[in-house]
Amino acid sequence: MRRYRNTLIALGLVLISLVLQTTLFNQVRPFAIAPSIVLLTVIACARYLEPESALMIGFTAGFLTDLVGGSSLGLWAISMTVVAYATVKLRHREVDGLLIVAVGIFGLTVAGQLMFAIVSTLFGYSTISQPDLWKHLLLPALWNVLLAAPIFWLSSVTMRRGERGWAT
Amino acid sequence: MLPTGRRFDRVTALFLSLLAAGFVIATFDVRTTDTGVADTLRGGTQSLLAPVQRGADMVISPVVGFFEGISNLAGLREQNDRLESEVRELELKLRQTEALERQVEELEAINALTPPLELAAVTARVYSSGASSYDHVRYILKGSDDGIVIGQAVIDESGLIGRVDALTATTARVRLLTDPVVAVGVRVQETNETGVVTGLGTGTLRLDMFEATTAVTEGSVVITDGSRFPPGIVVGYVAESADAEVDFVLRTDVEPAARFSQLDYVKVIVGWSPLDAEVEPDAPLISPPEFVDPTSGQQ
Repeated sequence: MRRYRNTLIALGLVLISLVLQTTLFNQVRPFAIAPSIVLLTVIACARYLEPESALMIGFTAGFLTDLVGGSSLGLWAISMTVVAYATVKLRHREVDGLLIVAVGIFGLTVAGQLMFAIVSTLFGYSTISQPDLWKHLLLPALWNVLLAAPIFWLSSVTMRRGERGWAT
Repeated sequence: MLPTGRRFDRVTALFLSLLAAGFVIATFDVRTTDTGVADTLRGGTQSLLAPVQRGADMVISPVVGFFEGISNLAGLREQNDRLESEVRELELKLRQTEALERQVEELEAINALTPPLELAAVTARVYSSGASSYDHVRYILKGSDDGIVIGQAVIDESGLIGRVDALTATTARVRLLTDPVVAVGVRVQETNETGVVTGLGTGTLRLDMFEATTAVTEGSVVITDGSRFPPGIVVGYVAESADAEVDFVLRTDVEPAARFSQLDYVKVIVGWSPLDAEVEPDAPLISPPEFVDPTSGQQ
């Protein structure tokens, strides 16, 4: 029962983050690049969900991102599924400390952004040859690290998993 | 530690299945040229999300504006002095322009030239953007109910923003000039030679001129050539001078005229029929201005 409840909460958080991504971060774009809070929400929720649910939430969040974005359907779905999978694998590591958490969020966001760049290039977009690709990889990751505290807090409060894992 | 055994297999199997599903969906979407399931899904999602996004935008915009105002307070005095000086200069230029306009009117009358067509436009508020930093799209609160069709040019007070590439009855998606998939036929005003401006995914655009015989200089104005968008809309300014060489493409950067990070209201030019527009067969179109031979005085 808790499994379904948490999955529904995660879906709600993803929808909220999608609305914020397309409205708030349409106006707040430090150095012209917005954070990727949908990706951050997927990372935050995947900490508490069952592995299968985490993957489904990653895929759904990516698919919704594709639907409101400008690229082909499925590209963000692939990228966020990879991020959810990586988070599920990493959360079993017994690591503590803010620095490790920050590095984890930074690395997973870069991985998600890079995955999208590679996959979209495979499907005919020239994303990977963009002159400022590094900005699209590093800046959202940096903003995500800064925004992680409220998103992680919200996910932990709402999903209330007894057993905390990676990035508690 | 990686989980092992049966559970690992199940999770990995689901992961691989989802990746495969993603690739199938992407392939299907890329290969489908006509409007189909994907566009229906996009339109449906946008219709569902638009009221929520509009509500969020109404709450967020004043708050963001308030904080922007505070952060800009220090620079306001300096900006005010500069603007006063600019107003005085502009007043002077305006008086000069008025004199020039009178001369132009006289010349038009002499040559029996038709004045440029005043194109109809619809003003729309930008309420949302794409959901990732790679997206170069904005959503506006006007759609097919307001006479907008796919392919129409979108402008703001500075110049060309992009084109409409998807729409519902009440909303439309604008693909910005900075998107690498967007290419615009242009003319360099200084030399009158044509080329193509392409987005690079960044703030800068690229200008390619395939048959250029004259060099372009920094600061030259680049305008639309009228092939896909109405002619004469400012696209940007040449960022770096470049020489024309025989058998070589003249390539240089263009700074866009529009400030894409500060889009609030835009105008969609609905009084122009773009070549790729999906226009109803019986829909009224504005014809291009008729050519008048100034020597004979007859059409």
